[in-house]
Amino acid sequence: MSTNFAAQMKAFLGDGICLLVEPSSSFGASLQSCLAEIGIPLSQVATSKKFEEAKKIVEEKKPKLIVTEYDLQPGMGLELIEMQETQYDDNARIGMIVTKNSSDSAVAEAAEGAVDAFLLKPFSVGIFRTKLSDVLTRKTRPSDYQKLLQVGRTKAAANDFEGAIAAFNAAKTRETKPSMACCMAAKIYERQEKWELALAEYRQGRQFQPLHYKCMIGEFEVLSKLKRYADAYEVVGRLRDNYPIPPVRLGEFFTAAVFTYNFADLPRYFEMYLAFENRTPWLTNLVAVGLTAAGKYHLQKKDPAKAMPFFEMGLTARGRDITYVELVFDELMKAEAFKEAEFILSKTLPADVGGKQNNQMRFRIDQRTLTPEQLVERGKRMINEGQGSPEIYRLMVELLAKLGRTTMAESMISTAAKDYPDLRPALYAILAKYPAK
Amino acid sequence: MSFKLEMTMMKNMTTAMDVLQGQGPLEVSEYGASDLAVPLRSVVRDGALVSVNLRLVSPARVFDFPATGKVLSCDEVEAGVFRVKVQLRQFDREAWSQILLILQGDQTRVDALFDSIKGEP
Repeated sequence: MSTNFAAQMKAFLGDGICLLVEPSSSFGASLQSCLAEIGIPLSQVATSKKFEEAKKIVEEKKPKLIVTEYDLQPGMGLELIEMQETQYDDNARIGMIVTKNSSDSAVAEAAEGAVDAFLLKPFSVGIFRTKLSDVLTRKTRPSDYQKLLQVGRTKAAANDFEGAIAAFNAAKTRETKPSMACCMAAKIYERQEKWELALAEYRQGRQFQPLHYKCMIGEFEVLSKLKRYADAYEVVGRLRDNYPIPPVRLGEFFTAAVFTYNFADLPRYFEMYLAFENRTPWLTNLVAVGLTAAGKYHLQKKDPAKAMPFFEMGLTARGRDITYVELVFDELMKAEAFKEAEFILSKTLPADVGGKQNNQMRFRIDQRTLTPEQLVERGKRMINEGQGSPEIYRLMVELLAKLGRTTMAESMISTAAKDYPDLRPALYAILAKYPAK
Repeated sequence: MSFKLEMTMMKNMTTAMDVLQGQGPLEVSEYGASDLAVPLRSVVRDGALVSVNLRLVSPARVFDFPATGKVLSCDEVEAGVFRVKVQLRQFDREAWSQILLILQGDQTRVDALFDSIKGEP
């Protein structure tokens, strides 16, 4: 063990602490022994196996070094490092992920955020030491370029926008490919809502490094904000072809694809979505909304066959949730795609079959095959069992009126008005269309 | 691509008992040039000679690696769980180098992706 590294580490930590967040005792012990070898005394190491407890430690003890697993159900190691980011200047803190999760999307998500190093398990003590040493050297002995970036960050944090821009511009002269300086300057312009200047900075950053991830993401975000979706989606193509997509970005790309009618790309994004281990309700909802929009678009074009794959993907995303089944069913019925509507209805989860929503949909499908008498019986039974809906009442009133059973239709309207008072005029209008026999 | 290194067998060469019996494969938590650590639910004496089988699991294949070694330490890390460090003594060095290369190769892939997204010099 280099004494130089130990001394550097000691100077960096000072009286501060290191937080080790690891659910497995064995991995935790291995990491602890690594830290001990580096010369970090046990008294300066706080350990936790659980996310909530770790969060509390970050809040109260403000660790300067965090070594954490990526997946800490119900939270994520990234959240702890993001909290730490708000407590210190970038050069005064280190956040490391040590994880079994080697998926590209996890790496991309960590790299986009405040994580300084990403180490895979099982790890070698040597690699752990080298990684930590590299990060420490970068933070404690920054190049002129990095120093100027830090000056800019500090000024930006103090809302000294002019000072920050000046520092980032100075930084640009100290590096051959200063894309990060451009990116940081662009962020300042974004905060000032100077969108065109921000765009120009991101684009300058990409002149130095055409595939600079953060510049591309920044450009995409600004263009989306300006509602220049077609331009934004061009950037998505370059990002998608060159980088893995982290979950948070996938939702945005999904939305951009929908806004630009690039529905053909949705199945590819959907595959990525399915591959994620952590699918948040927010992302699931966005994905389902996007797929529904694509399906509806094809229905408007009178092409239910093209719409169906999108609706089916939506069903998978929403776990065949009955509310979603009903939403898609309604769209298909409106488009008079009855065969497809029946297919979607058949996807109802067994637990929901025979329930109110399922029965209502079944009634609407069966109106095409049952005799009027059978339908009236079925409808009356459903209404008596409290399974009426505005659509069922409309169908029943129309059916009874057609059969000339006006009194029963009026009685049905009275029943409907108890649950849906606003429905009364519409139901009477239906009745009025059929003169009493 | 994700790799897992497991210990599927650890036999005490003096008593001929399989120390892992009933504990299933154990995930290797840490490795070095010729040593590794696993979490065990029983005690093994320091200095005990053991015969082990390691298994590298990748999505594409499974690779078994038998070796003999010596228990360097056995420390209780929580109630009933011991971190056992084993020094490999007799083993196919070429095969072990291959395993290390595969594990480090995975880390290299992650580093390249991480650095390109960070985009910092």
